[in-house]
Formats: sequence, C-alpha cells, structure tokens
Amino acid sequence: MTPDPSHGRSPRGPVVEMRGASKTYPNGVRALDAIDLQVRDGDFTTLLGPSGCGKSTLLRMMGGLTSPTAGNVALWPMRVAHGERGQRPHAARVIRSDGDSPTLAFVFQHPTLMPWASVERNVRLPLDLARNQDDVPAKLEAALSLVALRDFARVYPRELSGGMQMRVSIARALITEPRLLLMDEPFGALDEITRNRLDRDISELWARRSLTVVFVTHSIYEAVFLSTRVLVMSARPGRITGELEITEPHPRTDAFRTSERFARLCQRLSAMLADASGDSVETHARRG
Amino acid sequence: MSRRAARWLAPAAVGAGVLLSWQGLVTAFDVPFYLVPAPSLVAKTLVQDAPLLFDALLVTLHITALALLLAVVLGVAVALVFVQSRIIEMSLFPYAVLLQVTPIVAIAPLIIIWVKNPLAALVVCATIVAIFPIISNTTLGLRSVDPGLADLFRLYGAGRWQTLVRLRVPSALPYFFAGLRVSGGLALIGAVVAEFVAGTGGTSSGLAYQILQAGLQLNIPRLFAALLLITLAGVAIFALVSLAAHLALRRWHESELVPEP
Repeated sequence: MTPDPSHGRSPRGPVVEMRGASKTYPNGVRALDAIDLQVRDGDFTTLLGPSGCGKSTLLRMMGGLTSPTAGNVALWPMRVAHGERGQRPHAARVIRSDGDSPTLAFVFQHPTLMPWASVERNVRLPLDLARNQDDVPAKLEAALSLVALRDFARVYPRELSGGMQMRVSIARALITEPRLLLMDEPFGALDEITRNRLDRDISELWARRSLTVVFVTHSIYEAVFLSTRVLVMSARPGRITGELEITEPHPRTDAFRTSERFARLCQRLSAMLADASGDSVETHARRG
Repeated sequence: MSRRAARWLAPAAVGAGVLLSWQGLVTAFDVPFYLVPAPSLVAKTLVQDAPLLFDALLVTLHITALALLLAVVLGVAVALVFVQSRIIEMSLFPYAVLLQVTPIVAIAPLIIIWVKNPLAALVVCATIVAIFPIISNTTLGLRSVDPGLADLFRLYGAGRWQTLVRLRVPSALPYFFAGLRVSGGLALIGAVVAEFVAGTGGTSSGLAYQILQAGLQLNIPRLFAALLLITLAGVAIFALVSLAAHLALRRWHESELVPEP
C-alpha cells in the first residue's frame, strides 16, 4: 500500500511557511534557531520535543502572539509576523472571519476561560469580539454539540471539571470555523483517561472537517495517535531535528493505540528524540 | 449545635457577657454615670434623645454616602487613567500616596476655609480619606489580567475598549470590592473627623458634633449613645458593601465560595 499523506484530501499550498525564523530573548537565550518549516493544508502536524525546546514559542509565532527576531512567518499568502524590530504581529486580520478570509484559532495549555462568564458567553466570545452577530445561536449550538456540552451552556467554568473546561475552550476555538487550529499542549494537565478521550474527539473532528491542525505536545503516544506528520525538536537552541509521517487512516480508534504498529512508531519517535537530545548533550560536553 | 448557629450565637454570647458584667460592675462599685454610664442608662438615653441623635446620624450618613460615592467615581476614574500607561501612573501615583499619608485633621481646617458650603467641605474631607484604597486596589485589579486571556483577546483582534469592558473591568471587580470594604469604613471615619474639626466652628450638627457637645456638657450617657450609633453605622456600611460584593462575585469568584460542610 502506498502511503497517502494527504489522506484523500486534495493537496493545496502550505498553510504556514517559516523561513529562517529565530527567536533570541533579550537575555541572550536562543529559543529557536533558524526554523524552516512548512505546514501543508489539511495536515495534522505535531511538534514533539522536551520542555524548553521552543515548541510553544514556535506555535505562538504561527499565531502571531510573538514575533521572530530574525526570519519570517507567513500564513496562507499573508505575512503575519516578520523579524523586523518594532513590527507588531497582526494576526488579528487573519483571524477575524469576515468574508471568505481563512481564520485561525488557538487552544492554550490551560482552558483560559473567563471565570465571570457562563460557558455560552465564553464560547461566543470570538464572535462577540468580531462583532459578528449573524446566526450566533445556531453557531453556538453547533460548537457546543461538537464537544458534547449543550446542556452546560449556562453553567460557570468553575462548576466544570478540568476536562470539560478544556472542551469549552475547544468549542470556543471551533465556533469561528477556523481553517487552521493551533493547539499548545491542550491536554497536558489532564488525567490519562480524559486525555485519551479528548485525543479521540480531536482526531474525529479533524477527520470530519477540512481542518489543518498544528499540535504541540511532549507525549510520544499523543503524537503518534493524532498526527499525520510529527516534527521532532531538540532544545537549546530549539531546532527541528527529525520528521516522521504517520499514514494510519483517520479517525483512529483505541484499537490503534494497542496495535503493534503503534508501538513500533512510538519506538521510532523515542529513538529520534533520544538522538536529538543525545546530540545536544554531546556538543555541550565538547564545548565544556 | 450547627456551625451556622454557632457563627451567630458565639459572638452574641460574648457581647451579652460583656454587657452584663459591665452593668454588674457599674452597679456593684456604684460608679457615677458621668464617668461610666451603665448600658441600661445608655439605652435609655438613646431612646430619650432619639430625635436629636437620629437627626445627627442622618447628617453623618449623608456626608458618608456622598463621600463614598465620590471616592468610587473619582477613584475608579483615576485608576482607569493610571492603567492607560505606566508613565502616567509613575508620574501621578506618588501624589495619590501623598493624599493618603497626609493626616486629614491637619488639612481639614484649610478645606473648611476654602470650601464655602459646609456640607461640601465635609464631603471633600471624607472623600480624601476614603479614596486611596479604591485607587490602589482598582489599579492593581485592572492590571491583574490573566495573561492567557490577554493573548486570546489579542488573537481575536479585540480593540482597546473591548479589552477594557470585557476583560479588564471584570478582572478588577474582586480587587475593587476589597478596596470598597476598606473605603466604606474610612468614609465614615473621614466624615466624623471632619465634623469634629468643623464642629468647633459651629457649622455642623452631625454625630461627631453631638459627641463634642455631650463631652463639653459632661453628658456622658449621650456621648456613649452617639458613639454606639456611629459604630452601628460603620457595621451597617460594612455589611452593605459585603452584600454588594457577594451579589457581584458569588457566581464565579473564589472569595465568595461557600466552603463544603
């Protein structure tokens, strides 16, 4: 069987393109070093690496929440952030869903909900901020149904469990029907059972919609279960050191989790991660 | 006994005990009423002088309410200006502190001379005393925005006004109410102190003036009765502000959570 990385979707241009994107903090720490990267339309790309490898920074750059200190980042044909100093990222233009322009959404590590607002008001926030009042009830209903929270619209976040709060956060991201969904270790703080269930939900969502996802995690299992493509990163300075395509068809089920293929893929990624960190330890030793 | 009942009964029992021993000691040692009046005498005076004392209470409460309202309006306005830029805050904050540390007794005579209307003069004094906790707490609150939510608002292209109304103001509410609790008491204290200063000029008829007069006439029972009214007014203001905070925050803020039994 020939691997089909587009999973039956028509391959279009890159959604994210980074050229030589670097991030050096004022204190001299190099978080990212000349990243060249393309995210293909329709892919589920995972950035996998140890903590401190700059994977979150990379994702935030794609979202326009931080600017590269050198190189540039482009979403679709539009440039969202560039390395010139003083230039503010203007992701907002890409994100507002006015007309046919593609939109992006971000899911943070924490649910990041407004504690003073009900689930409903949290989920509709992106529409409210864009002053987009068309069809709000229908969109709200659709977004809440996707995460199975229709009965909780009037509940306040603190009355929900951690997993349910995360689902609210995902509903809020989906309400604008984004073409690109950026997720920064969204389930890192959850227990394994909840995490597995949400991984399955995300996998289904991705398969059902024409969605491009970039997902950050430090879990090898999560990366294998979700991705069509895994980018392995190493730390200090943050670099992409390896790449693995995962051709298992979507939506993936728990059967895949326990399969031998799954175990083999995990082993390969694990070896790639070890290589990456081993290299950096070696260079450290040589320098020292 | 349930916890709920204990919450009320325990302090009530302490109060009753103190009052009873006070009454007992005054009677046993035959203390003259112009030194320490018995609680029963204070209660009797409160009823006898009720028209006089409650009129005075109204005057004091009027000043307190106006001062608290002014402190909230001005204090929140100043806080909103402060959070617009660090430069503005850095340049102006020391003067807000100056206002806070200057003893009101020292500047009250000046204000009473400068401001013609006696009521307005007293309100100004009480406002100066009450405004600082509102300014400093609200400023802190407006700045204490969850960085994740700030990112989210930026991501969705929220404007300055949207960020203020939908994010900063709700984030600041718990801090504002903490400040308001302190300011409520301070407004009353400010009103009383200002009345004391102004009272010597004979331009006021609030509770502080009644205390001053009663002291001069050695009418100690009336002095105690007036004092009791001021204290009760202070407690009432605290309870009202706490109720307002509870109504505004009960659905979401940790400070208003009911602990599990």
